[in-house]
Amino acid sequence: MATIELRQVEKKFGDLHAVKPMDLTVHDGEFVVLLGPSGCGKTTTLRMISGLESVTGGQILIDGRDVTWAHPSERNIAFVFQFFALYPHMTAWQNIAFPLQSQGESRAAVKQRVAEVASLLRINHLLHLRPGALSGGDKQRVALARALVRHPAAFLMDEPIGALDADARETMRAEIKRLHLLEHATTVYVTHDQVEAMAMGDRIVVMSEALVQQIGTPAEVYHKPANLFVARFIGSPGMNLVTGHYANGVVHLSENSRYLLSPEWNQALQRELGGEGKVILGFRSEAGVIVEDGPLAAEVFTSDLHGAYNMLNLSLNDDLVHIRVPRGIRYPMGATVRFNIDAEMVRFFNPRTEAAITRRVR
Amino acid sequence: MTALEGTSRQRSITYAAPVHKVSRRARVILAIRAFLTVIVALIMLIPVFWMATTAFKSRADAVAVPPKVFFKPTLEGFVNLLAERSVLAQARRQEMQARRDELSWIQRIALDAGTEIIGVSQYVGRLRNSVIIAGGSTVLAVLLGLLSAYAFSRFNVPGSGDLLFFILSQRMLPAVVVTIPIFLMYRRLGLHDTHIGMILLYTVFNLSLSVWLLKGFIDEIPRQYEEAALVDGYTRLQAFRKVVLPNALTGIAATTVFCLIFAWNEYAFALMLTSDRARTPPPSIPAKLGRGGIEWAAIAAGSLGFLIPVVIVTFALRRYLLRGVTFGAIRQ
Ligand SMILES: Nc1ncnc2c1ncn2[C@@H]1O[C@H](COP(=O)(O)OP(=O)(O)OP(=O)(O)O)[C@@H](O)[C@H]1O
Ligand SMILES: [Mg+2]
Repeated sequence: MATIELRQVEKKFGDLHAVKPMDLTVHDGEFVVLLGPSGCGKTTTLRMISGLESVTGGQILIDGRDVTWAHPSERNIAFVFQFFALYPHMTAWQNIAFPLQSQGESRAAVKQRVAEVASLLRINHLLHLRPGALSGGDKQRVALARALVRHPAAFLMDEPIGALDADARETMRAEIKRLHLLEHATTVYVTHDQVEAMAMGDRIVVMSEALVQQIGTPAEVYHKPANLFVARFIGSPGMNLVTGHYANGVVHLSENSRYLLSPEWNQALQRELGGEGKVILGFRSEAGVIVEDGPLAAEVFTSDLHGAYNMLNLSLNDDLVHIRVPRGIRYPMGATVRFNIDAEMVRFFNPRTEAAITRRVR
Repeated sequence: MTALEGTSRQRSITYAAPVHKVSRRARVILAIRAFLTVIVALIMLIPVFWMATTAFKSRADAVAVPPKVFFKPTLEGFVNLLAERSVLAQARRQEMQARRDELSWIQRIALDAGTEIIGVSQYVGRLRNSVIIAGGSTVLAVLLGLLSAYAFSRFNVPGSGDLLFFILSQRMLPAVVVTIPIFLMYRRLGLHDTHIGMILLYTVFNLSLSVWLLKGFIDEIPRQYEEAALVDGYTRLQAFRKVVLPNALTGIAATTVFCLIFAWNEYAFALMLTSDRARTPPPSIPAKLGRGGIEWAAIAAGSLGFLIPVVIVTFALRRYLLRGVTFGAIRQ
């Protein structure tokens, strides 16, 4: 297994910046997820790592070796495509054996190795079939087997389960995770589904508009989003964001909503905004607590049943905020509720730079 | 699953369903359709049928009025076509008749027509020319076409739109317009009446067809196949051979047949640019019209024999021609 290092890697298609200079180190055995909305450059990044796309700037290192201009076949990486890309004229067995045959392995070795990965993925009974005769999930299993068979230095997966239906997706997600743990395989995994990213990644690289927005563990990107984009994009629903005015240790959100800052936050906002100014307050839906004499007030818009809990949708100023409440609690539409925010889970963003404001100075 | 797969399955259900399961109305419509198809097919096959029967008629039967539908088949036409004969004098004829039993069946047929075989006719050489020229130019056109179609399909060729149009334009002018300049050029270059000259010419003409046809087929093959092969440790050329080629077989077969048919049947260039060494049957069959009475049977035999190779190739490749382009692994 291997480490992958991107140094200021960049891709331009003519005038279009598909990936703006990015730095990323994927450690040995790590599972890194590239996450972002459609067109943000995830696939392009992956293709640059694999060598299928040439970079227009920067360096790529695999295990410290500069492979920026190496041919894909010289990088010893495996690529799993969204639409599987199984060779349609070969059987599953031939598909899986194909990468080994390029290395001139002996027949017996190929046979044995294919049998090994086939049983790892439980597809022994499908080996004689052509891809056309396989279900989506089985195609992806064969594609994974083809990737695994050669013991590559790293796996690159481009939305490998995006083309499957919901059922198969759940199964394959678990299966990929299991393979990752079994093989201790360095993996870069692309998805635009943040739930998938949170569930699978050791670390998540959030991208938007060709730019890396944040790199962090799932908990970090969830609880400490680096900017407004990440705050909105991660979680379902995304982070509640309410615009207010900061002055004298208090954030005014509306006439009867005043959020009193802790000394640390006060210091941080003071420094960031220079006395007073507009600020965006953010909190997760589970950080809101309904309390009778809470400092914040909002009007009930709707409330959704979610099985384990209810989601209360409130309107505060012009913003809609979501608060998770226990199952039994109901509120009539239009009623005013007062609530507080878990002091540990409140976040602030500078509306001008859109970046998160941090509490402690280095 | 591709759309093509879907339609072919639907169709096979319509036709393969047991008759009793099909509604009465549908059965009537099906019967009418079948009937009309047969009628059209018959009308279109009449000239072929006429040619085929004429090829087996004797000289007298071929020109009989009213035309004979029932006749005694003979290979006279074929013998006349393929063998060089001389007319026998009365004495020699009787002498030959006397030792008829020693003669081969071919010579007996010639003898019945009052002639003796003295060698192989020119026509055999012409057929060989056709095989060389049509075969050579088809192989070249498909091979070169495949490579350039792949390049146009996969790489950013600068000005590819203009280049493709230029390639297509090679076929736009009718042969009669370009034969004279080509004739003059070929004279100068010593390519007149040579196999290589004709192969080059037909290759140029067929390349436009093969590049365009094959580009369409290769465009249909997802790039991910080759990309998968590249990361699996293969070079671009190996990926082309092991992954693209097998998936382009349908297109290659179709292109081969089209190129072969063009080169095999070409008349105008062959008439102008060959005289003897590289002459092919299309311009020489009509030439038979002139020589001492019209040998209809020989002409029909020539035409029929000339059809057969193309039919055989088409038949051999029919599996690829009929099979839809199916890419099982990629859902689109
Ligand atoms: N070969 C190319 N030529 C020109 N532009 C391209 C090419 N490939 C990608 N792009 C552009 O680069 C940008 C990033 O594309 P990319 O495929 O990396 O996005 P993505 O994050 O993978 O999106 P998706 O989730 O839709 O797959 C897009 O705007 C896309 O249109
Ligand atoms: Mg993509």
